[in-house]
Amino acid sequence: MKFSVDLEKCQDHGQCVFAAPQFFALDANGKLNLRQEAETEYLSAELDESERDAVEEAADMCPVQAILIHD
Amino acid sequence: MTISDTERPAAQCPIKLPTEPEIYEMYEERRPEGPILWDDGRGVWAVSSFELCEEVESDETRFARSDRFDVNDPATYELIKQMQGGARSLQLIVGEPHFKLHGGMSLALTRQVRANSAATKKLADEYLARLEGQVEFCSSFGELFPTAIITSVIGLPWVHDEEKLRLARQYTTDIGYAATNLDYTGEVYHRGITASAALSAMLRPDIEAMMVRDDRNMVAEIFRMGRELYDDWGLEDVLTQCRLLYFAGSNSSAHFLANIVYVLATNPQAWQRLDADRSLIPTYLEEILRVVPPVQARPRVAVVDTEVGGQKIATGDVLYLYNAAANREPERFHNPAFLDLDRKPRRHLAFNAGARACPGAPTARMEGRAVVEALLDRFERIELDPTKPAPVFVSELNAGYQPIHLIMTPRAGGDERPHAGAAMTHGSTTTPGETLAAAAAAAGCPFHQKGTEQ
Repeated sequence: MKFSVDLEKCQDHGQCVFAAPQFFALDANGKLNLRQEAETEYLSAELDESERDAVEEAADMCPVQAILIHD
Repeated sequence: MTISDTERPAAQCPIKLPTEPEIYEMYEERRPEGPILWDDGRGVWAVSSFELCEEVESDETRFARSDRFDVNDPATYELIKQMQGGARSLQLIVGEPHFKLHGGMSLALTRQVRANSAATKKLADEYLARLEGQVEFCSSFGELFPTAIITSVIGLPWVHDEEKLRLARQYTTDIGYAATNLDYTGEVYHRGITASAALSAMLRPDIEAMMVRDDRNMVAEIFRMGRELYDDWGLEDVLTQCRLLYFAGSNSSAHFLANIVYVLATNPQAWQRLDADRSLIPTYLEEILRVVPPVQARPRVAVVDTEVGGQKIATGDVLYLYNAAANREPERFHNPAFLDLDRKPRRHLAFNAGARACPGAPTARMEGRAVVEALLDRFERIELDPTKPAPVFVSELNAGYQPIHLIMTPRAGGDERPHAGAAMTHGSTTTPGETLAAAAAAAGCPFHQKGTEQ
């Protein structure tokens, strides 16, 4: 399982930080940390199944539905 | 390569609303005049571009919710507190405490929604089972179903007590009208405050009992997270947030569901496509939210002298943010007035942008999905009843089509219709282990099945 974040859709609401702080954070400027990793779309490495609940919660919570799960 | 709409197979063509709401004609008439205009009649700034709506909604250092503007006037603030249930309503607090409580409540809601997915589908099917033949959808389904869902998500024990559900719905409607009314001394506001006290009284005994249970129910979660922010956080604070969930999740969701059903009843091709490929349902829901959002506009008040889109805005100026107009901005969306099941979803403003984005969005999406799936499972088709008054788009507290007189034709051979392969999805990908069949089975179900800014 991987997840991706559409960084053009993302509006840095930071809701994902509450669900999966192990992957998501806001930087000092209030921007999503993953913006430092990619320009338009971030794709995670392969994740352990134990992370699924947290990442799915982050995807569900995202107000703009910018997070996708890839199996 | 993009296929133009005229080249697509008919079954894949974008969906035009059979009756375009009049209010959208106003948006389109104004759009060429600029993204922010002074509306002399209402004495407000009308903001209609996506960029500016998002800018204002996202900047709480310059713009406040309108009911926060008078917090420095003790008498007015007291009234606002009474209406909201307390000064620490999620709608009234700001800054870091708001961010933490908003995120915490959003996560707790999301978890409840995920845990309640099967129960929601069962409830949707129970409500739909009452509808066969000729029915008016808004009164027979939309009136109580969203309130029942909120009751279920909070974990209150009266999901099936229709008298209580009806009362909760009435109270929240009265509160809703008052909350959008800036005349704090008028009858509408007074009725809202009375309803507010009545809703608190109705909820208080159960909330008090649930708050101290150690089973991580929604109420206990709100109590726990509030305690991390405020030492003296207690019953009245928790009650205030629970009331807010009713307020946020009743009227706006009812209109969202009405708009979903109206389009399905008037577009057999959309019905058939969703039935053939249920992975399109999330896109359908996002397009309904974008094209006919149940909340058309949000008010904000400037708390400093500032500038928006080149216009000078004075402290105290009111801005109406027409998210519904922004959602149809032609620069952002090709054929913006059409629902397009093949559109790659882009962000829209139906749930607002910024810190006050609706934390109930996952709940609304879950409800929408459960209702569409339950409709497709139970009915061969639904269509408007030509002998009854046609739906009109009413944009009042929330916006939606009503009444929706339907002729509902059940599937042949009873109301069961198994289908394989459909699954809950996150975006366009499938989540294993959550097939509808499994969800329905887990719920003991023989069938497959507003938003509010805070």
